[in-house]
Amino acid sequence: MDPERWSQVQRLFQRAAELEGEARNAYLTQACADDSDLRAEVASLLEFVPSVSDVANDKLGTSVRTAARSLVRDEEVPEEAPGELGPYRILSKLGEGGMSHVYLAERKGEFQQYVAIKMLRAGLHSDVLRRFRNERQILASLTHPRIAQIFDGGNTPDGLPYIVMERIEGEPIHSYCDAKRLSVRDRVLLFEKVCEAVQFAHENLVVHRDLKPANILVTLEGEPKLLDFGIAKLLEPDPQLHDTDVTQQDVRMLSFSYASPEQVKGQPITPASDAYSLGVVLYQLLTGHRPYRIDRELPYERERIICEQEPMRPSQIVTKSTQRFDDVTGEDVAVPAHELAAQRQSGVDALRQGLAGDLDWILLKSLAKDPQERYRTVMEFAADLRAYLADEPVSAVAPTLGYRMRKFVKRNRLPVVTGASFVLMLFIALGVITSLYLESKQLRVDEGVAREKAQSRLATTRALLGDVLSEFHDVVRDLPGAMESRRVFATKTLKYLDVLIDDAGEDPTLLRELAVAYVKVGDVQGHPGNANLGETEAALRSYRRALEVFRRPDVDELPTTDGYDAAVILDRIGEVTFSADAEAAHQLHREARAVRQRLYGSKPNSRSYREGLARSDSREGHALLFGGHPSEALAMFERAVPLLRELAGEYNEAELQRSLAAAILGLAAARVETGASAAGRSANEEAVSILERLCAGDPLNMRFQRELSIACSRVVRCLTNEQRPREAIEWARRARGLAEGIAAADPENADAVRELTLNDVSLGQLHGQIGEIDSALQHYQAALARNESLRKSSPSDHRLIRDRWLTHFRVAQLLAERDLSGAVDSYTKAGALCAQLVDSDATNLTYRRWLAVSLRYHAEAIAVTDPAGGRALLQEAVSHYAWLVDQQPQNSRASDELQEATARLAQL
Amino acid sequence: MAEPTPGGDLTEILQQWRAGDADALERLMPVVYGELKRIASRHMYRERVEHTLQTTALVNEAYLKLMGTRETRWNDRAHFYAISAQLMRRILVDHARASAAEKRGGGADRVSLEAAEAELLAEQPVNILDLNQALEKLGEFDELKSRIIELRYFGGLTLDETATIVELSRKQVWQESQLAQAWLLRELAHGGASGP
Repeated sequence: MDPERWSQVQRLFQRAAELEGEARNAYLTQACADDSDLRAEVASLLEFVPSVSDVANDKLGTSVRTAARSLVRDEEVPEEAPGELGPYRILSKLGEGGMSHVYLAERKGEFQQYVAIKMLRAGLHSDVLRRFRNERQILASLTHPRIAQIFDGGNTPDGLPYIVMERIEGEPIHSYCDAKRLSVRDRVLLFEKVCEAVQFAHENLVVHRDLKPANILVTLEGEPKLLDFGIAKLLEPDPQLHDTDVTQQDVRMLSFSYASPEQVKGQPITPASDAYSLGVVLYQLLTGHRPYRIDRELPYERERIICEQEPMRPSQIVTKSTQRFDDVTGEDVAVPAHELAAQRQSGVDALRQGLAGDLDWILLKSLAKDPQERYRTVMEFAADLRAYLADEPVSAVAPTLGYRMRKFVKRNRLPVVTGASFVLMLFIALGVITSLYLESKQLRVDEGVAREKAQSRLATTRALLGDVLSEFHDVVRDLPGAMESRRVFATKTLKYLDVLIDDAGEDPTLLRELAVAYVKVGDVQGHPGNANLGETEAALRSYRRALEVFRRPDVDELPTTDGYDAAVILDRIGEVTFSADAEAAHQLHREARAVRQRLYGSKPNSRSYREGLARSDSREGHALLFGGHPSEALAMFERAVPLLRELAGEYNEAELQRSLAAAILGLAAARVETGASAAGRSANEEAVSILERLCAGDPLNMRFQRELSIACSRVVRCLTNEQRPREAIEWARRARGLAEGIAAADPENADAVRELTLNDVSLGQLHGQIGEIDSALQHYQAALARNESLRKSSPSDHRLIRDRWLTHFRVAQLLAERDLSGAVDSYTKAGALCAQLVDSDATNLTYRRWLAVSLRYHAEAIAVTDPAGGRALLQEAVSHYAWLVDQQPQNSRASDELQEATARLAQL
Repeated sequence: MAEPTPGGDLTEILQQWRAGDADALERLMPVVYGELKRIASRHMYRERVEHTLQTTALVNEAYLKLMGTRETRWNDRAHFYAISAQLMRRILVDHARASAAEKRGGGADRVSLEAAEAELLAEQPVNILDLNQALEKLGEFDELKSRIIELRYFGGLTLDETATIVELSRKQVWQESQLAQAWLLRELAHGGASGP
């Protein structure tokens, strides 16, 4: 068809269809002119325009509907059974299933014999009969007292295949067991007979493929009999005759609740598939629950559940009441746990204990998703059941470490972080060991398990738990770019810890290990000394949980082997609290220091107490420094530095070197603050050289890099104070380069990003000092932009407010001689930020001084155009200076500044 | 859309899936299922109440067919609807082929039932296989029209829904359908003798 022609037809058709009678004819005559073919084409199409456009009911719609109806109808099973089939007379209907109806029939002739005739649904599988003929030899030879015998097969006059088999009078195994209220042991005994029959069939190369309680009947004599062996295979379409869609269609006919993963996936079926179905049956027999609930409405869910959902341990599930689908009534019935237990001649607790251990493991092994991890043969399955019955060791054990790891990774869909996959492994190990631990705890209370065995298992797993936790943290702490794995670690580990600590009872050793683990998780969540997730509140929660434990007298009395004690936790809480409430933090550190002094006093030669005290002193020094008490800080550092230097000399450990460097940095800062700038700079340079050595020894260690960057910044500050801007710029560039590398390695590390902003601020200042205004402003703007993005994640962090204040203040200073209104604008912003800081901590001397300085400069800038406004601001500054002098009468800088400001006020 | 569907955020899920979110497929499936069920119930709309269960059976089948095309990239909502409609068409055609083959094999009972049913209808029904063939022929030179017919008849979509999918106005879709219907009916009446 020529497309142009067709569109011409369409155009005319559309227009003409809107017209009627004469108007239409006239239009066509005019439009087609002399093209009579065109006119004929359009006219013939117009003849077929439906009078009513009703898609559901017009001729085409009817066609689709008829087809759909025919499809639906063919799903139905024939309603009427023939009265006779060959030598058999049909007596009554015994039942019906998804693919067949079963009739009771008798054999015509001299002796009475009842048989069951299964009549198959026709339609989809016209070759069933052919295959039945092929396989009937095999099926007929499958003679076993516990397998329903197949006698014959044929074809009804309507062409429906049927199978004649031994008639079994009995009850499905699960309802039989419940009706008889069989105990778990008796159920296992009965089930073991089922296994034996299935094994016999397997040995004869027949796989059942559709084992389910309805196919496992128990006769009046209490003997199990298996129906329909090999029938499912007959019903499976021949792959050569049907396309894959039909194969999948067939999946629907299986009893999904008992189907193995390979069955629903259409993979090869082996005896292991029967073993799986038997596992489901036994699970249900012993627990009264299905290993998983399958919504019959949603086939895709079925497949997913069967292939992915791990069954709950039998001993766990029996403590739950649940809705159970009743196969007979087709309704959900609520069955309380105690009732399920009562049906097994037991109570809920006794049932749980009876299943815990061997039966749990046997069932979980039989239900493994991967056939390789299952019982390969039903014989092995049965052997384990016999071993259980005889109280002998079973082959199924708690799933292996490797198995659990795979499951764990699968279940949690853990992100595998490049360069940190071993972290992942450790984390997996944590999960594994936690479950092992919980299992051993379970063992301890279970009856029938040797007490020593249980105890030793518990001890082993507990030790493993501690190992994994400690190893994990130490490895993960300094990794670059490990934020995501840390986040996963923190959230998942907390889940375990919360479970474990509730479970730990009064065992001080375990409680202590768990508390240490909480501290480590807290470190990852929000310890500012490390790369952290910035989750301050979560970190505090973890630390507080740990602190509760460490404050217990029984825990406090334990010998410390790993350097953790209440003081450590107090310090951690202080460190995290610091950014939000410096005073509270200071208080916590002082508390920690008091603990340390007590410990040091009791054992002055203990390395960990010496080290602890030195660190506490150093920390106290930093706190004093920050609180605006440089002389007191200096005293602290002068105590801490020699002690740390001594320790670093005795023990060649990076961590000690690092602490020493930190204390020296503090010492330097205290010297600078008390006016000894040159001595401060030399101390800073010593810290730089220590840190340089550390970085060289461990180039991937981000913490060392970070501290080196800070140390360089400190040198910058000294050089700046000494009015040596060009040298300072060199150092500042170095510091910024380091900070940039750290932030790039781990962009989510808030502290690293902040460090970068500080470097930009100081570079801005330095460039300003040497008159490179544009570079200066660029650095300030970069700092403000990064500060803004940081502020979004932690709006209440005072350090960020401080940084913003400082940047605006520096910008204002830079602009003061060039762009007065810009400067005033920046001073206004700076003043507001500083006031915010003072509001948050009214006793903080540093904040107060910043505010005073800020106001004083602001006043100068305003005074040029508005002397009265300038005076007002200066007046305010003076009052803050006066307060400062009042607080520290001996501080000469404060009184000098007060004098200067007062004098200036008089001038104005 | 003329009526709200349970898969209102289908497009979003499809986009997430396309963007590499594997979980989106899991969220998508219930939606797909719901849609197919809707399609099937449209077919069954005027059927007896007893057919409710069979509708589910039909949808199950449609679903399993759908799962067979799991690898197919559903580019967007439109593509998805087209796939559902196509699937429904395929299911019905396959089934009709299978039962036609069976009839040739001698299911006498079946034939008589069908014949009786046919008598009840005033008009001789169009065989689904013939319709399918005509539709294929139409698609050869006017893919849009064949698609619209597929969406409306096999997908059970309304004019408005179809319009959204093929990105035409309601009026345009109506016009396209009208000519397509006329062409198909003529084709079927003439037993495929005449070309367009």
